[in-house]
Amino acid sequence: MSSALWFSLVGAALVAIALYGVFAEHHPLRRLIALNMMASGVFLVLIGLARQLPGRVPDPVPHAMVLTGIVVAVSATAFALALLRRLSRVQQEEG
Amino acid sequence: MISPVLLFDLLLGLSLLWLAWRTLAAHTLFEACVSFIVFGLLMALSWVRLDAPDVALAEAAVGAGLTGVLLLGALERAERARVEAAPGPWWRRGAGLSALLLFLLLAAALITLPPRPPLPLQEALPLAAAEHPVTAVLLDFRAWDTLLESAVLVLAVVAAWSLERSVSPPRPAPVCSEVLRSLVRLLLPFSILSAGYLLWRGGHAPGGAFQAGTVLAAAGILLLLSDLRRPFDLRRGYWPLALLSGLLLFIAVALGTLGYGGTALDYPPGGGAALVLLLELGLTVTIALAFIALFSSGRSRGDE
Amino acid sequence: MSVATLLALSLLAGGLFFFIAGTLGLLRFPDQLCRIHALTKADNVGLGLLSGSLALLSGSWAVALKLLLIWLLVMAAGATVAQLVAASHQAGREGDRD
Repeated sequence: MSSALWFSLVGAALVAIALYGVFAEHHPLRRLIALNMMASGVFLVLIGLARQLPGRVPDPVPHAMVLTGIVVAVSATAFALALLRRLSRVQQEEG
Repeated sequence: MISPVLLFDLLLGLSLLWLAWRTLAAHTLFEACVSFIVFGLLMALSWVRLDAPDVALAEAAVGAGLTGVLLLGALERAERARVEAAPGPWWRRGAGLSALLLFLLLAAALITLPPRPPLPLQEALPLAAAEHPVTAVLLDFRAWDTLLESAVLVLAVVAAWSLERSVSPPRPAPVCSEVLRSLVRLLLPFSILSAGYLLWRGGHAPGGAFQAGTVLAAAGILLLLSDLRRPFDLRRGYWPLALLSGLLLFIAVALGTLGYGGTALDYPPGGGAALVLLLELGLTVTIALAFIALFSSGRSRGDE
Repeated sequence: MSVATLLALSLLAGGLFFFIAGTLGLLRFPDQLCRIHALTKADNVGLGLLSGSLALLSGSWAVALKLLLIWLLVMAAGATVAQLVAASHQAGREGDRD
């Protein structure tokens, strides 16, 4: 087995573990962490596939996509955290 | 016989899976956040093993660093949040079963994937506006993606701001000592220098706007945490314009190239390298300020 | 095997020893302050030895200089973080007493 295939498989397992986390956890922050983990799993599958090209140079397109994906994931996380703060404030005011 | 390198990769992969499980099964939210940060650092190591140094830099800085800071900053409030009841055992079993099924399908697809032919991209790379392949893809071949990405980033900041009730600068760290202040004083010039270096280097080697922007953002966040400088509000004065600069510059270049050659973001011959550097400069400013804004909207003083 | 490689390998082994000792301390020491003490001291030396070894193996002055810079930065950051963790530990204990 090549390292690239192994990391792709680890990525697939991470997606599955994180999917379980998204469904089975009930705290919103834990769900958010699980979603981030799922993103990491997807990235790992992509970069693993980029490494499986013939020749020594990995495919730069998935690398660029993952770079973009990391920034979009952190933007979404920050937005979700802002929603969470708002939610807990509303709950507090309701008492 | 397994080669030592493959053995290392096997161990690294297994520790990733173990940490993922520990993160989800953590007793406290704090433990979950810290496990997730460690998970991000091991991911960065995996990127290095997969010959993706650009992604490794971004993961260590953004995936582990910034996401970790945001999660830890939200902890206090999140612990007080009222949560819905835990799902029942049958729901958990169903989730586990579907997760297992998903893994098996994905694994089968990955193992049976036919080998791909070499990319046509390799022939186009010498024509690109940047020497480094990843930068060439980000800012030349697929520059549209990067334009929209900076729009997403700006949108996240606007959304986070509009959800805040009060306009107030962020709080400093709870334990803010003279040692932290002197470290920040020492690191600040280095941060600016290394951001500039990463930005310049991106044209021909791993590095670029993402990494440079994150290094600058880290410097700004440390500055706010150490309470060295009078806290600044990014919603006032010229700051919003600076925050938008990367996106506006991108749109201007897109319109300019549309008028010049008929295709948006198709750089004129000979001018590509300079335009890419200009776009990267704007992107660095936008990324740095957006991350600082997202961080500070999470710890505003009026929150308590 | 040349003298430089041999020296590099022994530095590597020394670095690993300090890292393992520091990690053992982190896992086995009774309280937070002891653990920080073990971790920061052992890891600073361990990282120094590792950087020295890698600098020797690289055989280039530019790489050696970068490794030295990384070691110095990590030491400064590590010392600061250790101080902050200890300070927040102290603050937490004083909070308990009140």
